[in-house]
Formats: sequence, structure tokens, C-alpha cells
Amino acid sequence: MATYTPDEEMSAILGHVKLSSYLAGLGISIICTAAAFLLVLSRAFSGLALGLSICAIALVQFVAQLIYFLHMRDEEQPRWKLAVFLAMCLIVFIFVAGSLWIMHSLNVRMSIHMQEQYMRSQSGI
Amino acid sequence: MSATTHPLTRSEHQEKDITTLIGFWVYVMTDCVVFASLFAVFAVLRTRTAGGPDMAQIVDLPYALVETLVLLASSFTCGMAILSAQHRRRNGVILFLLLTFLLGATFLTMELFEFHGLIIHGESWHRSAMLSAFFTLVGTHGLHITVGLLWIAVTIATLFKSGLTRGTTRRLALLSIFWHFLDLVWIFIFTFVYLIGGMH
Repeated sequence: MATYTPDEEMSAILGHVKLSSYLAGLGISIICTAAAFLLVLSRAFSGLALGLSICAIALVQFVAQLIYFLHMRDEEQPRWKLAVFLAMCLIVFIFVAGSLWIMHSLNVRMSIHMQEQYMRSQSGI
Repeated sequence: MSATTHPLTRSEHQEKDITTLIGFWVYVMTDCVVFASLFAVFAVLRTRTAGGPDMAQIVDLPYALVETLVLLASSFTCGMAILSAQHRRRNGVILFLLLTFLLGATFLTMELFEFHGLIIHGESWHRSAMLSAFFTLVGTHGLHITVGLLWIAVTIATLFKSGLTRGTTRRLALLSIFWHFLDLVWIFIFTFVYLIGGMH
């Protein structure tokens, strides 16, 4: 059984990781975290612009960690991990965007008293 | 054994490892959906403070920044453990896992300390819908960290006992995915809960 070397045996599950990859991930993450923190602290932009730029920075850090820590770019064909990841993104998008949309719409169309009355009438309290 | 059976055996083993890896990856992705729903709840209830404090009043940004950096460092040391495993250095793996454990435990302690501070000031999950959502989201992440710490401890123990075998290496690979995933989730907690929630 054990004629193959342990290194070959392990390589499938560990992948071929490199120190430079982890250092890049760490560096980008630190820069992103510091940048977002300083942007908020200095109030460089106003409300919406600040929020959007911080979201963009978070997204950059997210992708950097996916690539450099979770090695998603190095996956061989067939790329199941990527497929499941994309499916997850779609579900998360529907979940979060849908919830926010519905709740926002509810908020705009109904006053807080109407909401309360409606919820009471629906829950039977 | 004939020479031709060896590559076949090897690829079977590797095939099994990769299947395990993908199976675990699917679990992690479903866990992302759990966190996404908690993020949605927090986003919806963010302004529902019921006369209590809003996020800006309870957030301590520099403290959250230190938490973030501690968790990021632990994610990095976890990667270093994988690197050591690739070079077949058992003691290196144990050392980096210990570091990961210490950093993770530091993070958890800081989070519990933060929770404790809120609760003794009467700002627990009872206070408002916003605080319920906050404690559920951040608490669920903390619970995952606790499980991760337990897992690290078990992995260190098995590494001491049986070294870098097939089983321990596989466990290590899955552990690293789990730990990196927790840092991924924290990016969004730090951004949406602490940075954006703490504005105004």
C-alpha cells in the first residue's frame, strides 16, 4: 500500500500553499482594515459615500482572503468549490437584498401604528 | 502488488480526500447562509432601539479594531500551520496551532468582556430589538470561535499522539478552512456592525 511518498499523499488535501500567498493575504487584509478604520475615524466622506467605500474595502478584503487564505484560485477542474460558492452568493443575495427590500417597503408604506395593528391582527394577540 | 496498482490506490486516496474537502466546503457555505440571515436581521432591526442606546453609543471602535487584528493574526498563523504540514514539520504545526489557539482565545475573551460590559450597563439582548440582533449575530460568531478553539485543542492533542498522519492532516486541512471562514465572516461583522453601525 504505502509505496507512494507521504508528501504526494498529503498534497491533494493540503494543496500547494506558499508563504508568499499567506503574506499577501495578511498584508492586504491589514491595509484594508486600517483603511476602513481610518476612513470612518476621519469622516473623509459624508454618509452614503463613506458607507459605500467601506463596503468596497470589505469586498476587496473578502476576495483577497478567498484567494490567498482559502486558495480558491488554485482549485483544479472540475471547480466544485467555486460552484458551491457561487450558489451560496446567489442565495445570500436573495436573502439579504430581499429582506431589506421587503422590510424597507413595509416601513415606507405603513406607519408604525399601522404595522403594530397589522401584526396584532395577524398574530391573534 | 503489481506496479500498476500503485497509482490507482493513490488516486483513490486523493479522490476520497478531495470529496471530504468538498463536503466540508458545502457545510461552510451553508453556514455562510446562516450568517447572512443574521446579517439581514441586524440590518432590518438596526434602527429599532426602543428608546435604548443605538450602535454608535455602544461601539468602541479602537477595541473592535484590536479584536479584528487579533483574529486576522490567528487566521495567518493557521495558514502557517498548513505550510508547516506541507513541509512535514510536526512541531511547526503544533507551534502554529498553539499560537492560533492563543490568539483565538484572546479574541473570544475580548468579545466576552465586551458583552459583559454591555450587560452590566443594562444593555443586554433584552433591551431592544437592535441589541437582540447584535447579540445573536456576534454571539453566533463567538460560538463558532469556541467550537473552533475546541477543534484546535483536539487537533494539537492528536498531533502529539500520532503525528502527521493521513487523518490528522485531513483534520488540519478542514480546520484551516473553518478558521479562515470565521475570519471572512468577521470582516463583514466589523464592517457592517462596528464601522457602519457605529457611524452617525
